[in-house]
Amino acid sequence: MQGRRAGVISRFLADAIDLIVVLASLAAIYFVIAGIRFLIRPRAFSWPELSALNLGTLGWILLIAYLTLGWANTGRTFGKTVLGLRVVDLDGTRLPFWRSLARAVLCAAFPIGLFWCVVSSQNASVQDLIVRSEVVYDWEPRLPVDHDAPRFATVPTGRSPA
Amino acid sequence: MPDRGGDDVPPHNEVSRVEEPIRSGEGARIVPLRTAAPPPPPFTELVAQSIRIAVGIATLATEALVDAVTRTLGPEPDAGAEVADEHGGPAAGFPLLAGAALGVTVEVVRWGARTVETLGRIAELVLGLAPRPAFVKEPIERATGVAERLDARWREQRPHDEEAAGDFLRLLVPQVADAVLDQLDLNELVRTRVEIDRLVDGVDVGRVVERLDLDEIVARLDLNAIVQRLDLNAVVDRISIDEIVGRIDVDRIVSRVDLDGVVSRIDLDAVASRVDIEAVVRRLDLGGIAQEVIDEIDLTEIIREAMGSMTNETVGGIRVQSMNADRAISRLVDRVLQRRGDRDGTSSAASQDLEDSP
Repeated sequence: MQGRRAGVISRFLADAIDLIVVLASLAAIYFVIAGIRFLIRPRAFSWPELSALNLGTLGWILLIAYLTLGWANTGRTFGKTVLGLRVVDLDGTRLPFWRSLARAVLCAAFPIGLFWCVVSSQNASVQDLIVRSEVVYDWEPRLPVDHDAPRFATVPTGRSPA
Repeated sequence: MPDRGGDDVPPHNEVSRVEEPIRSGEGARIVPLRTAAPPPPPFTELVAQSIRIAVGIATLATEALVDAVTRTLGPEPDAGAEVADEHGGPAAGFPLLAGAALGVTVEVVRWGARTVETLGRIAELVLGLAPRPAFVKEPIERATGVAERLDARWREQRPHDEEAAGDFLRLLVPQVADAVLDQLDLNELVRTRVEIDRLVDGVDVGRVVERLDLDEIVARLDLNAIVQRLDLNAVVDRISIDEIVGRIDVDRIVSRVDLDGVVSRIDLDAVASRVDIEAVVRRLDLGGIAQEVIDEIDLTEIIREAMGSMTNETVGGIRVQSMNADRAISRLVDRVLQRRGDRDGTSSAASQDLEDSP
C-alpha cells in the first residue's frame, strides 16, 4: 500500500490532529501573552479579553502557516506524520512552496473539500484537484525525492505493505 | 452370802481395794509407763542393787574428784599417774590408798547385801510361822492399820509432791545446764565428737526446702539495700555478654511473644506526636539522595525507549486501521456508485512508472 493514494479516513484523522495542534498552539499563545502582561503589570493584571474574530483570524493564519511549512519542507505535518501520509506533487516529488501555500489557504478556507476524495475515483480532494497534488501512504521517515532525483515509487522501501 | 463374805474380808484386802483405783487412776494420768511396768523385784534384791549403784556412783565420784584434784596440782606430777592408769598398772600414793578403800567398800557391800538378804528371808519365815496371840496380834494389826493409813495419805499426797518437785526441777535444771554449758566449749565438742558429714548426709534437703515459706522470706528481704551494696559495674564486667547472646534463641523467644497484643497496646498516635519529623528531615540530604537516585536511573533513556516502543506500536496500529478503513469506505462508495473494478488509488507517479516500464 505504500505510495498509493490515501483514503478519506486517514486524511481526516491527520487533519483533525493538525487542527488540535493548531488550537493547542493558539491556547499556548494566549497564555504566553497573559504571562507577559502579568510580568509587566502584576497589580493591574487581568486576563486578555477574547475576541472571536481576532482569535479566529489568528487561528486561521496559524493554520495556514503550519500547513504550508509542513508540506513545503517534508511533505507532512504532525498529523500526517502520525498517520504515515505525505503530500507530494503528482510526480511524487516535493510540493513547491507557493503551491503548498495555495493548498493550505484552500484547506483553511474550504475544509469540506477534503471529502471529495470519498467519491473521487482518484482519491483526490478538491484542493488536490486545484493544486495538482496528491496524498499518499508513506510510512518511512525521510524526505520526499526532489525533482531531479528518481521517482518516489521506484525507491524500494524496507517495509512490506500492510 | 455376799454380805457375810463381805464382812469376812480381811482389813488389808480393803486397803488394797481402796488403793487400787488411786494407783491406776493417778498412775495412768501422771506416768503411764508405770502401770505397764513389771512387778517390782524382791526387797532384798532391791536393797542389794541400790547399794551396788550407790557404791558405783561413789567410786566414780571419788575417781573424778581425785582426777580433778591431781590436775590442779599441775601437769608434771600428774603425767606418771595418768600413764599408769592408762596401762591399768598399780598406782602409788594417794590413788593407791583410795583404790584400796574402794575395794574394801565393794567387799563390805557384797557381804552386807548377802547378809541383808539372809536376814530378810529368816524374818519372813519366822513371822509367817510364829503363832499370833492376842497381845501380839492386836498391836501388829494396829501398827499395820497406822502404816496403811500413812501409806494411803502418802499416795494421796504423792501427785502434789511430784508436781512440786517437777516445778523445782524445771527451775533448777536450766540453771544447772547453763552452769555446765558455761564450762564447756560446745564448738570444740561438736567438732570432735559429732560426725557432721554423716548428719548432713542424712538430712533431706528437699523436704526442708518444701517446708520453707520462700515468699515470706523474700518479702522480709530489703532488696533495695542489697542492690545498693552491689558493685554492679564489677558484676557486669565479669559477664561475657557475647557468649550469653550467642546462647539465646531469639527466634524462639519472638515466636512466643504476642506481638499483635503488644502493638495493640501501644498508642501509636502518642508515639508519632512525640517524633520530631522535621528534625529528621532536616538531617537528611534530600538533594544528594535525589541526585543519587536520578544518577542511578537513566530516566531519559527509559522515557525514550518507552515512548519509542509505544509510539511505534500505537502509530503502527492507527496507520493500519485507518488504512483498512480507507479501503472499506472506498469499496462501499464504489459499490454505491456502481463503479466496476478497484478504485485507482495508485499515485500518478506510480502509474507513470507502470506506463514507462517495458
